[in-house]
Amino acid sequence: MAVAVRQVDGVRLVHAEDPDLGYVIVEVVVEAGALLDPPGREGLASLAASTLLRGTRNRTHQQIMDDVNDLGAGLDTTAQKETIAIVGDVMPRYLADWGAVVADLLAHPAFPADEVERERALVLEDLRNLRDDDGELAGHFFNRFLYRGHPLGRPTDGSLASVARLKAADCRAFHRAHVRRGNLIVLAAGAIDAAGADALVRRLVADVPEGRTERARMTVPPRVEGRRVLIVDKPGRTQCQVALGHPSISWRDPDLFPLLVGNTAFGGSFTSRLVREIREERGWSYGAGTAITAGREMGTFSARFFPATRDTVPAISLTLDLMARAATDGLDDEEVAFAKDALANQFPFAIETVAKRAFERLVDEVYDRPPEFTEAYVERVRALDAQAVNAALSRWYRPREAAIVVVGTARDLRDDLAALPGVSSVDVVPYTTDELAP
Amino acid sequence: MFKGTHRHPHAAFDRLLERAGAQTNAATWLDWTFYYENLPSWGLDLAADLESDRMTGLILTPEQMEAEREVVKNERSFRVDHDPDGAIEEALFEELFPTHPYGKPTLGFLDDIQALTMADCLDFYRTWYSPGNATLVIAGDATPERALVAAAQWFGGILPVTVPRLDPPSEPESPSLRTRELVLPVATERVRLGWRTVPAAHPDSHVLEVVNEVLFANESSRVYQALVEDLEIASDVDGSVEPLALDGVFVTDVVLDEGRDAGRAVDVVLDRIDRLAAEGPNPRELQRARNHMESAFLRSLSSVGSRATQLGSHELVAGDYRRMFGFVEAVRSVTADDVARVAGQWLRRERASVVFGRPSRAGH
Repeated sequence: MAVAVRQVDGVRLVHAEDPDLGYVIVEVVVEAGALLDPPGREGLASLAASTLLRGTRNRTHQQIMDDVNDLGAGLDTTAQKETIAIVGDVMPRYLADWGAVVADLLAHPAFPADEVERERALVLEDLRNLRDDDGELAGHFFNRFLYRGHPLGRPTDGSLASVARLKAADCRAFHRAHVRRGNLIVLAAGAIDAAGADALVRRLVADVPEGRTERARMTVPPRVEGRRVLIVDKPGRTQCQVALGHPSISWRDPDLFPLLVGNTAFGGSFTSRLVREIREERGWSYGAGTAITAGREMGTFSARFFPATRDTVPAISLTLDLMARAATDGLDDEEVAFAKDALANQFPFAIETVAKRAFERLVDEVYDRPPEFTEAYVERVRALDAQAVNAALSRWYRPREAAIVVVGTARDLRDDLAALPGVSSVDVVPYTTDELAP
Repeated sequence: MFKGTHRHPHAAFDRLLERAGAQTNAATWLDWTFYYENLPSWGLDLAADLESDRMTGLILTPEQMEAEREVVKNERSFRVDHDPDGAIEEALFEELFPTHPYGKPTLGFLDDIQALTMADCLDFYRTWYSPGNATLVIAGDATPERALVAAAQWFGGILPVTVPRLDPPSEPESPSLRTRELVLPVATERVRLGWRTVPAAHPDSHVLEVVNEVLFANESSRVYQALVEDLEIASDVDGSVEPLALDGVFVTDVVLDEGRDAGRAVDVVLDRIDRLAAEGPNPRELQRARNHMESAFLRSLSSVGSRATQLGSHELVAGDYRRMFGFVEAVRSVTADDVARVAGQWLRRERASVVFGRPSRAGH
């Protein structure tokens, strides 16, 4: 059940077969995403993707959804910084019918004005409803605040103001420019053999024009000294959602594996230092943890927890202190040995199913991640020693450069946050705000 | 229950599992508590050893109790008091079960959490934690022989405990539709409707799943179509069948568009249920529902961990893990008449409880 990558009719195919799965998972990825959104028109790539379902030359929106739902199949679209995608799954006996619908979406979308308007209205509702969820708000504003002024800080789903500017013609132009065979990667995993996968790709792209457009490239933002705080002010809260972090590592950096091990010991596991201090010792937050998200040019380090308001500034202060201590004093041998074992032994679950294995390979294709990241993962983790792990932490844990986002009631937080050592700025915005000042 | 035992002191328990690569967690719901470990097959004995130790050897200290009390208060704040959907769900179950224990929140009210003593926790533990009251599910890379040896080795020596039989009186039928209004920090109105239905083992539970598909579960469903696409007053519609051992709950949620009235959505939901009860589904709707449920079933078996969860759920809530293997066939045998009958019998408007979430003035 190995994963194979090959070209079929000018399209890259990532294929993994497992006849016992009982269904087929398909992703049609277009290498064009939110990084291409023009300034002031954030959300375009996302809307261009979702409006693919809003009608074609041959099917109305209702016909598309009914045709797919009749099969018991899944069909949706996604948008990320560098891609949009049509995703779904279907039982093998209906694969041809499902594929006919998706081929129609790819090649013949009509972007009818009234349907695009309805989709846009639903996006605007989703953006408003985001305000109901403090955790989602914290994640949303963390990205925008951490990367303020950088393309990564522009919201993939757009803002109320930017989405309101989008028109059907914008979606049509995005599709025309980017849905081309050279930009496509198709993932097919599950109950589909090699010949079936090849035939599926041929069917899907039969009417898609050839060609390839340049991918958006990012520059790494300059490092910023000083801790910046953003309070997303929501009245009447007795609990806060905290997201803090800073830019971090790329896939190809030699510090990646040591940093992953170090982070697992520090905050990436239930028995890690940070969780022990925040949850077990003090009972401050039911959930706490840190994550390293690597990327092609750069990645992100983040810490998340949600303490009561009275515990919020102490919890932030403790987290930053623990990061500083890990960066300067390192972890002890037991912590490093624990994290190595944990990561190596957990790894089988990252590739447990053909779908997971195929998705990992898709990440390699989209983000230029070396395939050996997966193939040599266990070996590389096992080969590390405490010295390498601690050296990576000293280079990549940067608590003095942290961006700190707190969703909570500003009047209860502002003074104490401003008094934290090393804080260079405290901004307060209402949680209903649509735009962050540059 | 993560606080250590006589043999495995605080933190050692989870440390051992995490080091072995285990993905672990626990959850409590109305009928059950479950602990799970997904770990490499060489760790089977480690997991069985630790779980048998957790079943018999728990120790609690006052310091641990107080720290955990704060964690649970924080969890309640996160899941209910600062989560509009959590607050609505809690209110709905109170409305559906004013007298039955199902109406009391699993997490407890804040006063309950504050008042619990260490003796309360230990008493609960000693009453309910024993092999005779537990189901052990082992799925994946372990032969039946190896699994049985592990079960016998680690649980076979535990002395049986007589577990009390729970048989609370059934909730009386509600004479009329009940409503409750919550003022919440939400951007738009939302509403959740619920009905008491049948226990998970009842044959109508599969029919209710089909009703959900026809009315609520996807973009082609009647209520979704009416509220989101035709009337354009809602941004999301969903429905679910909640499997319980002693009763059942059917729930549907609607998130309204800005400025739209949730009362209008309730009228549409109840009207479409009435129509389904009167007319039944058409053949296309019925086949669509069967296909959807077969697909969902296949998805639910995609990993070893999810297979274990399915087996355990069927055994604990529906009384027999083998029901899982008959799911697709049971769904295929549902007829249009079944759907009409069940919609009319269990989802009548006077049996509904409705909780509205209205935006506060300070909202958006």
